[in-house]
Amino acid sequence: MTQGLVDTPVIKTERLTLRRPDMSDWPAHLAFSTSAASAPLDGPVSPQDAWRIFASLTGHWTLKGFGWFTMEDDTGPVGVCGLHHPPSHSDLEIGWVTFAPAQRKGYAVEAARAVLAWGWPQFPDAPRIVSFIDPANTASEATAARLGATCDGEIAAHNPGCRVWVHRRAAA
Amino acid sequence: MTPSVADIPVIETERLTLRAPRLDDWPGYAALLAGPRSAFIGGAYDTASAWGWFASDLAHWAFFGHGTLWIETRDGGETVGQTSILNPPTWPQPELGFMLLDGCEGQGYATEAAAGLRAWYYRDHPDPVRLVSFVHPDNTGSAAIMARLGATAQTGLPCPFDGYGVYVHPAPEALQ
Repeated sequence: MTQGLVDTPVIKTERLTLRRPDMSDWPAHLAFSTSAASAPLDGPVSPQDAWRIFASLTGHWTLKGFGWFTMEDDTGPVGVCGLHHPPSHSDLEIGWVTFAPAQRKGYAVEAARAVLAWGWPQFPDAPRIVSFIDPANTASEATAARLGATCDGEIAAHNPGCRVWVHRRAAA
Repeated sequence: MTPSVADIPVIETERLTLRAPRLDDWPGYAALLAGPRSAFIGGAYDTASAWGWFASDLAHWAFFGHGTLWIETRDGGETVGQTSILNPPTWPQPELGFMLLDGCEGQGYATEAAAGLRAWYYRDHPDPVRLVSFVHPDNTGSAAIMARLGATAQTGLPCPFDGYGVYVHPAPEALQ
């Protein structure tokens, strides 16, 4: 027998709980990924592609032992944030997506700070953790800047439409 | 820590072992989905999409208690392909599928593995329903496997892929 799910931490922040995605999150993912609100992330996509994106978050945990968390506030799932390294990417990435109804509350910064604090010790040998961001996605660039990440104009190898933001390893 | 809620079985058939997907299955899967034989499953797929399917098909186990297993020969431990019962919420019902790596066709592995997974599902899944398979109209190899599995093409059934045949497998009771 192999575990279909690896043990996944639950991280609490001031306003959010970060936990493993489950099927109760699917309606919120589907609504976001198939709507115009996902345009900064190359959306909207078909329901089938929305499923692939959503379910692969969980598969990444099983395959690699780390992955994406659902961001949940007192209303339910409001986005995702996590660390991943799919084979098409050059570097370990921290990513965040806040669903439209919960944007502009600082949730992505709050979640990503907690995920980085959890993530750095998991990857003591990682040369860097990055975020790949489309320059048109000014909200995401602002989040990266508030996290202390910097961008010198490097273009993402897998996507010429994205630039590489580099996060600093925490002193702690 | 969150407890594990889904264990992935190991299934033994006469010549084959069906076991959980692993990261070292990825290169073969990526090559298959980038190649010409993936046309029967909507391909070819780029690396990012192929990884998405690889990871999301595995996630089925966590969500639904069924999913993809990889196929190895019991004699030699060679990985020859995969078989799966998948049911994304965009599909009408669970589908039994199979895919062999290049050079591994023609030995009855797909039939044997799919029959083994189907038998496990009907016997051990807590809530089994009658399975179907979606087959590309030009995929004569899969159509022949359907016949060997006792599945029959039926018209008028919902299918997520335009123009594909829907094959209905024997009901759980019929295989007891």
